[in-house]
Amino acid sequence: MNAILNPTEKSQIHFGQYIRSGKNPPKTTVSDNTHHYRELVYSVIMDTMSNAYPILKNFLNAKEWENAVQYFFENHKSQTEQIWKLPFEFYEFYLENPFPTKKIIPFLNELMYFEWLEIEVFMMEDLEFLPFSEKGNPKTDVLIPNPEIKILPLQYPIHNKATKKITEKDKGQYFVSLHRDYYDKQVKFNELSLPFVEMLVLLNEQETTFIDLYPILKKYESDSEKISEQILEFIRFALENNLILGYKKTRN
Amino acid sequence: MVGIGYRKEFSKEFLYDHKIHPDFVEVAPENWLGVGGYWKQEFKKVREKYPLFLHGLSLSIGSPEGVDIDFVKKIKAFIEETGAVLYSEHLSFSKVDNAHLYDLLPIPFTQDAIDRVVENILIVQDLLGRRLILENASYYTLLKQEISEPEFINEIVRRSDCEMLLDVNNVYVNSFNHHYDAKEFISKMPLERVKYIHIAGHFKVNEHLIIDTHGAEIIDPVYDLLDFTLQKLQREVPILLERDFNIPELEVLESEMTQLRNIQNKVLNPMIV
Ligand SMILES: [Fe+2]
Repeated sequence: MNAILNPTEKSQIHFGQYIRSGKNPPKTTVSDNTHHYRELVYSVIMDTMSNAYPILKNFLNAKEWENAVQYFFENHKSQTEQIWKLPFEFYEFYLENPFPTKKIIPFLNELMYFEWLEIEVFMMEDLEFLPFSEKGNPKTDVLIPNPEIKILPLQYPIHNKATKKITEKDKGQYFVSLHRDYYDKQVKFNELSLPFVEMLVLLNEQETTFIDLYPILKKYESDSEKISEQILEFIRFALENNLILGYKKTRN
Repeated sequence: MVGIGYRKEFSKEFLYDHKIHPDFVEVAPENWLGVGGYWKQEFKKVREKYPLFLHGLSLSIGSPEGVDIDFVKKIKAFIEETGAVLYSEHLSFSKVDNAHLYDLLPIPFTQDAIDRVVENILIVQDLLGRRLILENASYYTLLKQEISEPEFINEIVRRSDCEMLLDVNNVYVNSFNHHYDAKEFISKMPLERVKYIHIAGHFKVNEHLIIDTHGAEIIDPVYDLLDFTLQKLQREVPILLERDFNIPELEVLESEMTQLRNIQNKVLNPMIV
């Protein structure tokens, strides 16, 4: 942009700053109506964030929630042209900036990311699905995973416990997956153990069969019969929950 | 041709209940760009059934900082990918000071603004390889006004060679809020450039102010203004019924579309009616 702004450009910038902050309204031709723009824009931003972050909103009181949205909107220059992606910028903003509440929320960032991921996984562009067959042999066939999945490590059980009841005693290691169901395209959640996470990651990284999963469980269990049982249990669970779509199609 | 804005809120009924029979549908590309999964499937079904018109939100043709080239390229790819019949936008700004504001803000009616808008339009038209179709905005106040709105619009259209989406509800809303004659205003528009018409309902806040909400049924004076516009145009221009909030039963929208078709037929085929 030119270093020297003309009065029209200055007025537009002033207007934008007023709309974001609610402070220092510009003089306009019908000054009584200037505030409508601030209110219209603010309500769009508020609705977007409230729909994206229902758990966080519910955890905070009304004033805290309003402050969080207003502080973000005033101090962040929204970059996306697609407003449904703005909640991601809200999450990113509070990774970098102190959240404007007195109380410390230890799980704030992971809660925000968890809520954003639900939107992202639902809306994200389609990934490529390898051809698969629902029938096959779990012990020998290549397992085809559902690629439309995100796995989130958590320190607090925000996925299954009311946030207002979470205390420091709950701190630990949790894993949640969010995936888009192949059939109905809805987002589903699963709590996973670490070995299950490792197996899912491997499936998504390379062609994997039963035997390739063995070394993962070997780290946690020495009895080979139990290992086999656990791998079969994993495959059954993953198929049932659409984390694995099926088996690689073999040519006849 | 009479179309309707396709909304996620009524998608299921729209696709499967056959309660509504538009000749085309309109969507905002910003709501569908890069979207996969469930909505990609639904959107594909919609496109298989109806011709698609695009009506953008975030181009911000009145931005003092100019338009975003990468975004225009994304729009171009989207137009091609979807086989859209046309792409229209707003004669307003929604991005300033490098921040998107997600609303249609009125451009000051000044010579400096005209120069900037014309420059922006020429860049976009060059990138898209087609003329932009820009909608007259509704506004509740202006940052600056050196010239009248018809002068502002006419000079932009003339200098940029762009086309026009005439929103008759916006004309009505502005004529009410700013006390001018709506028909006289329409007569001053570059009517030979009008490629597309919008019509909608609005919300009367008080005796002095109407807000352009697209959240109510079309009122009679706005139907009347459409009739007047078509009399002036004397040719078929696609008309879109906009309904973004407070969405009624689809039968209500269907009957509004019927009324729009009746007006169109009456004006264009007076012998038949
Ligand atoms: Fe419109």
